[in-house]
Amino acid sequence: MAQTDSIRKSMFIMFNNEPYFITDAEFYSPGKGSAFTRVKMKNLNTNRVIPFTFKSGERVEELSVNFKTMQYLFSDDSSSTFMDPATYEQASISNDLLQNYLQYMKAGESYILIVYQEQPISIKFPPQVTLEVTETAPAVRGNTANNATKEAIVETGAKIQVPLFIDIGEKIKIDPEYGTYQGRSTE
Amino acid sequence: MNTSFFKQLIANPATKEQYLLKLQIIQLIRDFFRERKYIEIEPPILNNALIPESYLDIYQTEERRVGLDGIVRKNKYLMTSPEAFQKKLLAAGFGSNFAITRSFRNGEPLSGKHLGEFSMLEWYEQGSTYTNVMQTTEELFTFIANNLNLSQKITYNSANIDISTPWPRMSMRDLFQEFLSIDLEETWSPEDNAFSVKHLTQKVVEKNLPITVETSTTWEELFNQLFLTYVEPALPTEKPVIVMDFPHELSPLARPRPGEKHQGNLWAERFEVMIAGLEICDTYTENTDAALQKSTFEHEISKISTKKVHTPYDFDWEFVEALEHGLPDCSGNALGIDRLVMFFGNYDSILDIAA
Repeated sequence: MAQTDSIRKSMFIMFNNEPYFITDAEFYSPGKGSAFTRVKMKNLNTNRVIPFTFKSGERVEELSVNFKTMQYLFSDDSSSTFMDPATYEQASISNDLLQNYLQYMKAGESYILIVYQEQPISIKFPPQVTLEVTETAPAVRGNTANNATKEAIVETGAKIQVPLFIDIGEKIKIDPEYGTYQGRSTE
Repeated sequence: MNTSFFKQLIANPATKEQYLLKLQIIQLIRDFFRERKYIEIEPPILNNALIPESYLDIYQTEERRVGLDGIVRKNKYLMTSPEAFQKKLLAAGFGSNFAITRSFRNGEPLSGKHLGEFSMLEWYEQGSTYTNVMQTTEELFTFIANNLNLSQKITYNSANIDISTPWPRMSMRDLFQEFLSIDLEETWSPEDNAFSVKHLTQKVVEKNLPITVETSTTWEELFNQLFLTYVEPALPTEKPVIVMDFPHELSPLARPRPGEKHQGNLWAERFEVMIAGLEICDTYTENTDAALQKSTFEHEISKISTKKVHTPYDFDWEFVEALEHGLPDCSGNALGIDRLVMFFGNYDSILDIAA
């Protein structure tokens, strides 16, 4: 059993006897006393997204899931296709379950899929991904201010805000959960 | 001031535009109330004492004055709103007044709707009740939209919101009945002279709602959880909505009103305006009864003393004295200016306009 204090986006829970995927989670205190975790969650049986509010500290049951490593092939408008490199068996996952992670995924790379009742339902994304900057305004030399940013496009097409000193061709570390710049890669 | 605001201005042209919109809206608010002959007052930020409000956490600082005998130290608290000061002025005969000021609340959620230091408009109408202030609020929105050359249809948070008046008014009791089929008055316990967590839990169980109630769960928590889960997301978004008549338990400074089924301070003459999930303002017909204020003060202080995380502070008993002296009938509205700017500028996050 997980405490709701630790309820996070992308978690799977059993709620009201149905499996749910947390698509959004935010701490909330309505200014009238007491603290809550407000979530949006997707019912994995019906695909319906519902809002719900848990009391802070309330217990919820985490879903029991398995993991399987597969290779990412491609995505279309609604789903993304993966392949088991050993058996060549393919599986697809609805894009809305991959959420914003999708825009940081590279074809050909291996990902750990989360499997619930033999059905892949999402991927376990690393807390950090390294991607190359393919487009951005020229770097501003000597500007190391933390908070001034510009837009950059990385090799997967995702747009993120980076510090002014970042140049095209540099590899940067990104937190895929929030789409935030984490630093230059030393790889 | 946010230390990065200068750098944001340099790096992002939109920041300047957003900030200019905020300044323009502040100017329009001033014009609106000056036309109505309200006096603009200037509340003190640092205070020796604050009104006890158990649902707020505060900022504390230490003042040091230096004299010949050395340093004299004193605790000071940043105001959470200009309310106490404005009501004292009302009691001293200043009449209807407004304040545009920074206010400070600690422990706010990390979200795109909250700031620890935020810009607040608070106005008091002498001789008014909250129903008059509903109308003033509607008129203020119309005035701002007209002067920004906006139509009555505003796009915010991908909803099209028609701000033409009047806005729908819905009481908390009706909303619980409509969306949960729960009559909150049936959860009142006349013996305790309060809403009862036991009675409300019983309703939750009867309706088979997936809400967990533990022995430590309070009525406040359960009420808020039901409101946030079943009522707030179901509110209409095509117009701003006036949610009115809150439980008095959650509104210690408001004038109470009796229930239909039970005697006692069930409800408070209070409303909030909700626009597509954004809470814009909070209004009371102000409580002018000093004896009642004293007992709600004591009740709030007992709630504060059980919350260990809160910063302790000195309580503003002079506020009760002002009521004893005589607070004229009045109604006041506290409105978040940053959120108003988010709405009129269709900005996602309060951080976009935080300077």
